[in-house]
Amino acid sequence: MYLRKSHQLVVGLIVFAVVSSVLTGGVVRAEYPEKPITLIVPWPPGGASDVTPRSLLKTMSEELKQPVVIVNRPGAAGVVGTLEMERAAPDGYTIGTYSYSQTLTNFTAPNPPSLANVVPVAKVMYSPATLTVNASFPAKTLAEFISYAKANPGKVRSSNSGKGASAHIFGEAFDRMTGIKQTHVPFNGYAPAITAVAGGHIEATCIPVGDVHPMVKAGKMRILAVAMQERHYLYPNVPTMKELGVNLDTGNWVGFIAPKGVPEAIVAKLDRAIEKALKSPEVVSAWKEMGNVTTYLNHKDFAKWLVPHAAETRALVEAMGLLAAPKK
Amino acid sequence: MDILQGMITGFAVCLEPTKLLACFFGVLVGTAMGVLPGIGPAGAVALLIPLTFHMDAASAVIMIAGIYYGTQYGGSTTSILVNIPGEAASVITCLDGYQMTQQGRAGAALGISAFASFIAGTVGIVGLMLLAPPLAEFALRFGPPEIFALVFLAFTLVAFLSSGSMTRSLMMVVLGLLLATVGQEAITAIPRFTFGSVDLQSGLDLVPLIMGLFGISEVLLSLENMRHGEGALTVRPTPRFWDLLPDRRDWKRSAGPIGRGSLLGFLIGLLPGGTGIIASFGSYAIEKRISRHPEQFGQGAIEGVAGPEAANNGAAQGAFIPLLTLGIPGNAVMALTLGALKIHGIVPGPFLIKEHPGVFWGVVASMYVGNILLLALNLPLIGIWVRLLKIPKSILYPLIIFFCIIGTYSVSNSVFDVGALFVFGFMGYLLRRLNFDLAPLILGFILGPILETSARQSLIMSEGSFGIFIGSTIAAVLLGLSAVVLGTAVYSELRKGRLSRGLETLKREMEASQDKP
Repeated sequence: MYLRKSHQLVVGLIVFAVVSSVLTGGVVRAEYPEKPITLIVPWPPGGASDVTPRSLLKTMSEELKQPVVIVNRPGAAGVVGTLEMERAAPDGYTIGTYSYSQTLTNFTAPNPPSLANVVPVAKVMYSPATLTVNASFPAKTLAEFISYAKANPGKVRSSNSGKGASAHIFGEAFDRMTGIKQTHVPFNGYAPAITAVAGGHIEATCIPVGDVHPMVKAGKMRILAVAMQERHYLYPNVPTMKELGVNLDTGNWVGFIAPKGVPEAIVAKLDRAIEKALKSPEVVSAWKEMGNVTTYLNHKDFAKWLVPHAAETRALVEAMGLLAAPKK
Repeated sequence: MDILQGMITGFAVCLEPTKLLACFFGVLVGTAMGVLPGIGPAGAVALLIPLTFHMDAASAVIMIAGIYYGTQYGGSTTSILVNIPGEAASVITCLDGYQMTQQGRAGAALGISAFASFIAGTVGIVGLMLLAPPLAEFALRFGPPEIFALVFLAFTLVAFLSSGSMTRSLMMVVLGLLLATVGQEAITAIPRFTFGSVDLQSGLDLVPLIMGLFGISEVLLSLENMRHGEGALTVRPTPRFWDLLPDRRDWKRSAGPIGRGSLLGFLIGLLPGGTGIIASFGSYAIEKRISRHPEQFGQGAIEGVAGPEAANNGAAQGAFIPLLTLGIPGNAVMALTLGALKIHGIVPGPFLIKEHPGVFWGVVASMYVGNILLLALNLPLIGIWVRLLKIPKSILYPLIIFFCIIGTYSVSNSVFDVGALFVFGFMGYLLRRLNFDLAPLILGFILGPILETSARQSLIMSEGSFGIFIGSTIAAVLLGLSAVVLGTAVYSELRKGRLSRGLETLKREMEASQDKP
């Protein structure tokens, strides 16, 4: 009897362990992470979507006591790296960055990634879209710009980062909001699109604050308005579009995600490390220069925010006629 | 006086032990990465950029700059020794550099390439120091129509690239253009020739293309030669060090090409989208055109090494101007540098010199130091490189394949690219067996998309009017030059009688066919 009782205890413990581990979706070892974590960035190194997560790595690695290593997997407007992240083992050792551009590819790409395949970890930054013009453009205010564009339909050209890419969506959304018609000229990414405006070849662009900032600082371009709720800290004298009666609140955001199936305990741990990194003085000062607005959302709030955001994005893409044909 | 004072500040910064170390490490690693086939400047910088996050901003940029111009030094080594470019800008160096090696003059080729790099580097730094702000303004004047005109001019240079038949060169250009059409095109984002593959959506990458066409195919070709019992390189007994270097005659022939190459490279480096490869191809074409003995090009003419090598180093220095003075990254490496600066909370632009004089002048001064270090590093290495040729091919070639794979994979961590490497390897082997010259293919591949995109952008900008291509002085002048280049090419063909002979044959054939009932 005595022996059988001890057996029962052992069996009971095993059952408890198995059931609880199934319920939590995998055994969470107290010591996660026990090896380096790979962060897939689906963009080439150097751009804002690479530099932003990169600047967090140092503190994140210290927090997690394991190095977090970036692997850049650029290609197909972020789709290549995003799909690779979606397919990675859901053990928390491969995570990725997500952004507005990747959300767009859910609806525009011929081989789209899907938000259904990922779990949000944390949203970290926001860079609002702008209306920025070449320094010598006649219009000095947003109202002047709109009336100029209305008087000269199609003559105002707006540079963007490729058809269906973020800056194109911002530009088209601005057109819809204001009832003007700009000629949208696609470039291969933000850098050449900005250079074209700075050089006076193109009149305007809707590229976000952080990216146009150097050229604006250099006096080659002027920001007429920013598309966010309150004024941007780098440009306290530049009005928001909302103040001027254009209800456009859009821009780039960057967050972290993990493949679907990563246990919540691991997501939470990553989330805490990211939150900590956002508060480190080095990150705060570097982001200030970059024009990044810190908009931290923890994994739960990020997930809640993402659902309506994706729906809005889809609606906009559909209204612009850029929705990818469904795959057979 | 500002510049003098700036340079004093700069040298004070860059001679600090940590900065000096960053510079030395940068150029050392850069040379090594340049020598290894497959890893070009962008790959090398991307691999090492995390190291710079723990440094201060000046050291970080000093190191990145060192890696960048270091790879341009090293890139020519394997072009000259084994006919495999270490990075894209050195493709053209293979033509005459490898011929020189086969004539037992590898030392002279390597030597002139090191000196050319040094001289061009120095010219570039002086330009950067004295003329940075006005030159950056000039670079801004290149919009889509101007870029179109520049690339169009570059295409006309194909006429002078090839030593063999013009038709065959043109065929290769077209093949390059076709390969470049794979992937989502830049204007309407429509996928072309992707067959539903995500990997093909962003197009074929330059690195597997070059490493396959030149690297893998070279190995395959020598395998074949080994089977036939030939192909062992004739390396003369290792001479004394000084005998390895270029002699007085070499210098006399190289002085002009180095001077022109330096200037051309520097100017092209300035422009958005201008890279080392356009500079080196351009320099080669110019030297061949103005040479009194163009028939020697492709047969081991030292001008064909000196000019392009100067040009790609000049371009490396020139590229810093738009970045440091306007914050415009002209190429992939400059985009990386911009990222590194931003991480340190520095936004480059006209205020950089005022706000962070230590960074700006420190970087400029470090380039002088780095160039001297590179020359000191590379000259003694020549002896070692030449001895490398004595390594049995059974060891050397597997190593080459190994480095080609690593280099290719490191570009975007893609296994697909490694597959592409081998496909291009077999393609290169077949084409070279059929005596096609592959340099024009690379030119077409790189310039094709720029030409297409800028042409279509221009036409969108002008709402379909072709007038935009002659609307600006720069574009009109460049297109005018293209017309002159094409005109002279046709004229010289005519004078050689090839064309008229061709026409006569055609006429005769037509008459013959008409005679038939």
